[in-house]
Amino acid sequence: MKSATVMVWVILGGAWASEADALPRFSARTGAECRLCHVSPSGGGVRTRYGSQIFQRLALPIGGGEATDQDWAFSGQVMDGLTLGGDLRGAYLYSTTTTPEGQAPSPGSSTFFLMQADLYAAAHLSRHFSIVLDLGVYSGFEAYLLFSLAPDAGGYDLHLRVGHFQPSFGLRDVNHDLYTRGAVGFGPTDRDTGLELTGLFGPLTVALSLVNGTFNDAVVDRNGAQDRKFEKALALRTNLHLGPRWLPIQVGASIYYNPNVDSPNPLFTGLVDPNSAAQGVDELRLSAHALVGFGRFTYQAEWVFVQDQFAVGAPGRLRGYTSAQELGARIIDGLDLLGTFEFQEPDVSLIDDGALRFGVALEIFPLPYLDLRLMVRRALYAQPQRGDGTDVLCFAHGAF
Amino acid sequence: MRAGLILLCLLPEVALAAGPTIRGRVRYQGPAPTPAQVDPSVNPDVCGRKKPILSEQLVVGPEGALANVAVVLVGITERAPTRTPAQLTQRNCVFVPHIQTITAGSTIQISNDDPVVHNVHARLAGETLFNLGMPLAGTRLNRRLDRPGVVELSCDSGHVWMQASLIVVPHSYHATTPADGWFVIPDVTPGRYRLRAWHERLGVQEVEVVVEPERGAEVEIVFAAGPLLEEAPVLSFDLPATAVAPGPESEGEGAVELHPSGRTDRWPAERDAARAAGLGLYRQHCATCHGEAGDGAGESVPFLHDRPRNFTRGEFKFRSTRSGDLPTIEDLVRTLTVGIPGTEMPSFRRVLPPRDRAILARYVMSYSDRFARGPGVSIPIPEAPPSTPALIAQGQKTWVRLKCAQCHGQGGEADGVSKQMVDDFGHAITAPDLTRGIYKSGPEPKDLYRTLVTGLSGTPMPAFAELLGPDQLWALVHYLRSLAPPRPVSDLLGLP
Ligand code: HEC
Ligand code: HEC
Repeated sequence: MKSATVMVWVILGGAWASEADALPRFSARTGAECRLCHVSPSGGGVRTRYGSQIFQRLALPIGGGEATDQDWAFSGQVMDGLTLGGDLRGAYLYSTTTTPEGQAPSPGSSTFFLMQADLYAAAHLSRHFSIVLDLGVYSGFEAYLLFSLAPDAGGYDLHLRVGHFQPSFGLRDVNHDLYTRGAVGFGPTDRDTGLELTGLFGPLTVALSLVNGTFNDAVVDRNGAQDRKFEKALALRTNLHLGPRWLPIQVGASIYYNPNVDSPNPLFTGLVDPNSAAQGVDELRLSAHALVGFGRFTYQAEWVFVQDQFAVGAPGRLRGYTSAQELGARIIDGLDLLGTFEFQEPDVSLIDDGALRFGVALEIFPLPYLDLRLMVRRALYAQPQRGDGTDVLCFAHGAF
Repeated sequence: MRAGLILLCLLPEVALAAGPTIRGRVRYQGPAPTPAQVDPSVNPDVCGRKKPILSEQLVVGPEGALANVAVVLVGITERAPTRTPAQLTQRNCVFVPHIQTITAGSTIQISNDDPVVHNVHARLAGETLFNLGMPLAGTRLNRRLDRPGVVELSCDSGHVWMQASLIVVPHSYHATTPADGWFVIPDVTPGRYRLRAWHERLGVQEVEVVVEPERGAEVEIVFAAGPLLEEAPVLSFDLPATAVAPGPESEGEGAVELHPSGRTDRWPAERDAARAAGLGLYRQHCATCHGEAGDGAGESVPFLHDRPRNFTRGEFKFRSTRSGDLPTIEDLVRTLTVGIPGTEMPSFRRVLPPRDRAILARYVMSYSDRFARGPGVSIPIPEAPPSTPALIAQGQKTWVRLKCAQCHGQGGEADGVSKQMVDDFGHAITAPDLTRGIYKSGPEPKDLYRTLVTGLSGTPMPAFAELLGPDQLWALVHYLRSLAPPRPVSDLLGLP
């Protein structure tokens, strides 16, 4: 019983409580930059007028009849320049774990839960200048000033953002539970404070962030108490659009370098003696991603490599990697079938602690602003002492 | 109205009576340039075969005689100008004449002597007046020209060198210089006038002339050699501003018809009411692409593939009206209902009730004062006959006869010889691949019929209304639709 409860909390906390992020699948499908649908240059959070009024309402839902009255007259633009938005995900989760040898059998567990409740506000103070806020019930907050240098220059612009946000890295998928997100330090609460400069150069987007390098929504830099040398984190993300219109392809690479942090990457939890970690870790994360759309199919993939170099203590250096891939098929407009495949290997030197997870999901968009998802996922662990698990998850997501 | 009248009284009004003439000569000061020879890259078997094609941008004769100069009196009005029929021929892939002045309200007969496809694309201040397909030698079409200004003619069928201008003058006191540079403007009431001379590459000159009762006037106008202009200069006739008097009905607000009345005096009030009624809907549903100002530059545009329409020009592709005419409100509603297939312009059928679509269509009109004249008039589309192999075969013959392949390619695969086309907004445009079976015009046979009859204004796609009867048009439509094979595999994969 106990282990099942723990399991549920791991899943909830660890981030099915997925927070207000983007669906790179839509970007793969349309070949569009995240900025088309989201105010944030790195995607996620408050949607643009296009994202909420056009894409969510016209492109996503299952076909319907002719409008007879102003059924869907809703607009999050409450007044000139002020947009409200929100995401609400309510879910039901059923979870079982195969009992590892020598342990008492555990029954499955089931729960209703609120995965996400976020309220956004974006105030467009001028053509150049906005303030963006995201208040999450579980997942902390984002708050930043966003400055756009050349909003009218066509596909060329520079954005500067200042405040508290998640630095651009890889694919910012809605599912923070992915091995490539939460498992490597990009979970729902891994927001950081600092600056980010994003350059949009036609098909190429480059974002460079300078942040404290702290996790868990900390708003000040608590790292490096022992060592006062430069210990901010730097992140660089590139994304390039290629291919003809019927085969939109995006490829990109990201780097996150965080010297002298006081905790190891979550990927190495359990492999590190907590005392040595506190002495300072130099962390490097590298990622490559790809998004491909082809007719009704989409493919998204990300690979993340993590290296922690410990200043003091036993492990010296640890390296691991994770990957997450999703194949999507639009069966009809408003009904998607998804297959996911994830892999993680926290310690490259020993193939004994890897994990494999795959799932299938059916996602339906019955009405504007609403989607329902049914997902079955199975995780297999190389370590015999961790029982393999199966999750069944249904959720309803309302967004505006 | 009163202001207009006063202005009218102040201006010399020229009476139509046999009177003295203004005679003059236009000269070019500087060494006569040798006209450049055009190398026809398209249809070289016809174009320039009988005689070489020479650039007519600057034609200087002996003693500096400057041809192709339009000379007009400015700042005058004429109560009932004599309209004189005019002619324009396409011969040897050249517009003949290169420059001519005509009185507003006159009809011009356009003919094609070449056995290749031409399309006469006429634009006034960049806006399409008409775009007529003329694929057959011997075709003659008539068009009336009402709006004064410099109408530029071009051919999009790959004959990029074909350029000519019609100078439409609001009165009959105008002339064009022939090769000897001399011109005559007859029957001018004695008095003091301003005479303007316009040359497409040398600019505009103005001289003052005093017309004596008996002797008339004699003038010489000299254009000095200098760098040639990139674009034809604007020619203003210095007309009095037409003051718009508020009509009695437009005093009260709110009582505005969905259909613009076509009365210029009521337009400002109608436009403002349409703005007020549609603004909220427009901002919510359209502005992200078409821009708050209707200029096609909404905030999403940098991230889209297709360029949303700029409404301020009043140019619309999908109309049931004559080439160059404005769309009807139903045309715009149809576009909102079905969207523009194959582009990012969505269908609003599911989210906007019919009434809102009409309000928005009316709102779109409010961006262009061209609609002050009222929307265009629909050309009726007759019932479609069912598609039969015989009709398709007949349509194919028409396709070959009308040489659609010039722009569309033999099999309609967009591999025609005319590839470098530009639309009225200055953007590159290509003919669509007709084998894909996705038509911007709409999914129904009647949508293609409409496009063939009316052309797609603002693009090179000309109108064929005057060349084909309904039976031939339907045959062509069925042939076009037969070009798109069933696509089981690509439909299964959901490919565009
Ligand atoms: C997602 C972007 C987008 C949105 C939203 C959008 N449009 Fe468009 N619209 C386009 C594009 C792109 C075109 C041009 C397509 C072409 O000609 O190839 C277009 C063309 C048009 C045309 C020109 C049709 C013609 O005959 O030339 C009209 C009228 C129009 N839109 C009206 C509207 C109205 C009204 C709305 C709001 C209800 C709207 N559009 C919303 C993208 C958009
Ligand atoms: C001067 C070049 C030119 C000629 C000649 C021409 N077309 Fe076009 N046509 C175009 C262009 C350019 C477009 C695309 C307009 C657009 O995308 O907005 C077009 C569009 C079309 C379309 C619309 C397809 C749609 O998406 O709805 C049809 C149908 C068509 N042409 C048929 C014909 C036929 C039939 C002929 C001969 C009778 C012909 N065209 C002659 C240039 C031409």
